[in-house]
Amino acid sequence: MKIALLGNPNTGKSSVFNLLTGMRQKIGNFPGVTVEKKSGKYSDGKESIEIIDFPGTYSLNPRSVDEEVVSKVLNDPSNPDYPDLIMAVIDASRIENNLFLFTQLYDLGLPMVLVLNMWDLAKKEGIQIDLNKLQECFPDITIIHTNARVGIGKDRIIDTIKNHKKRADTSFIKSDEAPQKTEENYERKIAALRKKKIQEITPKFVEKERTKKTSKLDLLFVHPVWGYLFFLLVLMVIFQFIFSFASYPMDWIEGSFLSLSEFTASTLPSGAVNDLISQGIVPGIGGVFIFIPQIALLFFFIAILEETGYLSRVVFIMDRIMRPLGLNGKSIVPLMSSLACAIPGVMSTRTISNWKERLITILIAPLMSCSARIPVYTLLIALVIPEGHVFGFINIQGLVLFGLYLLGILGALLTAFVLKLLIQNKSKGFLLLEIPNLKAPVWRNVGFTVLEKIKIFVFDAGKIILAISIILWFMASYGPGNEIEKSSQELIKSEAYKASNSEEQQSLKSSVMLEHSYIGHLGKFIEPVIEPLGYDWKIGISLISSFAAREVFVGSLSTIYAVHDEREEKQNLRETMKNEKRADGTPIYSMASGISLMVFYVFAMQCMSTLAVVKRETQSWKWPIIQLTFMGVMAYSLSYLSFLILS
Amino acid sequence: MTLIFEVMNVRLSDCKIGEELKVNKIEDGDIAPKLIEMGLTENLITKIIFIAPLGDPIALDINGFVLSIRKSEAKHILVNKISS
Repeated sequence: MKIALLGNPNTGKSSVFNLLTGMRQKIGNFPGVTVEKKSGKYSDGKESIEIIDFPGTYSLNPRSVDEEVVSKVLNDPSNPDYPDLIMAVIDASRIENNLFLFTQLYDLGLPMVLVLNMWDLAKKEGIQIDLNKLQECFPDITIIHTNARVGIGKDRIIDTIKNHKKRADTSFIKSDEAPQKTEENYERKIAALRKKKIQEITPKFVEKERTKKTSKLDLLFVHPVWGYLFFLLVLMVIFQFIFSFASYPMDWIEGSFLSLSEFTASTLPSGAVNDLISQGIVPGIGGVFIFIPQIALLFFFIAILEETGYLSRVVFIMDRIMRPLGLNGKSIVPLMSSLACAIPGVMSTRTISNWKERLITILIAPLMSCSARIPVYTLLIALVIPEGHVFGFINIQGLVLFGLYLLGILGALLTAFVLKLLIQNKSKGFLLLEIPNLKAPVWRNVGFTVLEKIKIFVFDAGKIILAISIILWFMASYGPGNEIEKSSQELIKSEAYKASNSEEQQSLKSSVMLEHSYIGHLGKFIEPVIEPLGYDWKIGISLISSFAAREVFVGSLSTIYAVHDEREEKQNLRETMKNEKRADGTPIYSMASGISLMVFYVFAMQCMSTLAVVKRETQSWKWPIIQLTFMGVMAYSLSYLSFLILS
Repeated sequence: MTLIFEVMNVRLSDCKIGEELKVNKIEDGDIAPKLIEMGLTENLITKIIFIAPLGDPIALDINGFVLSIRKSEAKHILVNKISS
């Protein structure tokens, strides 16, 4: 049996879903649309039951891409996800408002179970619901109450679904009272009629005695000064946490994949397959996994902010500030997510109802410095920025890192402003935002959200990163004709080679091989183009190979500079790079070329996975190509400018 | 209970925090049905509970459900102020 789980946002719908399915969840896609399908299974003792958790919505008339899928599936019995039963979740403390969607669902005529969730909260707020009277209004469905947040009601729900009632051909809006679809303002008329009927029946089963009390905290959260300062503080705390804690698991992941790659290299019979696995596939998978700690941590915090209801307050105070830039208050979440990874960031724009605002958010999201840029930034900063302090206490290297983040954010906002002037759009943007009550987070829900985002990253971005890693491995290991072989022969005859120990010889060999590979040729081919930025062909090689994922830049430089002993790699690489000289004896990595390279990484769209996701979200190649182009132009011109100024 | 109105037919965008209001008319437009779906209907008794910094957007109390809308939407909602 297939069950559709539906309800307004903030009703505790995901709590119900997580309560029933636990770990037996998976994320897929609704056929034909880009919205994720969250589904899960549970067993009622007799059969296995599939629940599909639809996006929260206030009505069956969609106002965003996210919500569109609900009406699309429910209005089409031939859809593979068309349910056998609808489970509607209602926030009991907001029953009158929630009944709008519920009665729309009721009118679909499918068997139905109504879950009045947050029963305890309703009681606390002085709302008495007479279940018998409510049942009289909707006699052919079963109605139960739960407190899914604290895990109460699971058995009751399972039992109810098992013994659900048959529908008796009833509907809330009778066909003779409904306005004609062809009438002017039909949508408004039917909504008003439905609302009027709900207002008529509600007093029959609800007794309320309450006045809305605004929380003291809200006075802080939406305060014209403290509100913004508090948000800034929250951001600072989050990033402090991410930077100080993510490095431990990251080092561990890096070490494990290195060992794994050494292990496969030494155990498998040597040859092309061995190389493919130990140099292409294993490091490729490692390159995906390395980002999980940062992504998990960031989404852990975002999920908490969302669960507590604080994020709605942030959207509320940011909307007016974002609007002149063509953005929406809701853009804040995707942009924050993009500081970990642009892929979940781009995907979380689906809640923005206005297409233009959503598109601009998507286009600027990759300009936020993501976690893949950090290894590049830290290597280059350590290389060209002197250690020391300004004003006695501000670390210069830290300041530069902060500056790079700021540069990305400023670039993003400026780009948004320009895009706003360029992109044509007729429909007016609007903001209809619920500000839910503040509440403590449900840790189970936070955990599942984090898990879901990691899955999306691993499967969406991971596939592409892995595929490109393999292609790049091939291009780096093979070259035109027998050039690689010939140059290796020459190397072996050279004096320097003979004087080295076997480890050094291995590194020298890899370096020569890379120089004469397809990528090496490409690097030399683009050298004239990147020379004005202060780069040479070796950096060119690394720029090309970091197109799969930016952090590949570091590994690729290690290979080209023949840095051996991979565990001490970072230290040695820095030393080697420091000593790299141009033909005229000046260092390759000067302050000017180093900063130029950092600026390049701030702006360049070096991430195939993001392009693929943007294509999927905008349904055409037009926008990812535009994005690739303008980010490329920005990267090139601004790096050129900074090199010119600094050298 | 009969309500006594102090001022009739003012735009919601011109109202202040805390004033007791009765929605008199929602002008036709793309947003109107969506407002009704979310509970903002004609004849609703409501009040503004937050106004964001810079005066926009505003948040309304709709029977305990807090809905935030932009000023540009609030302009199309006419309300009567209720005297206390």
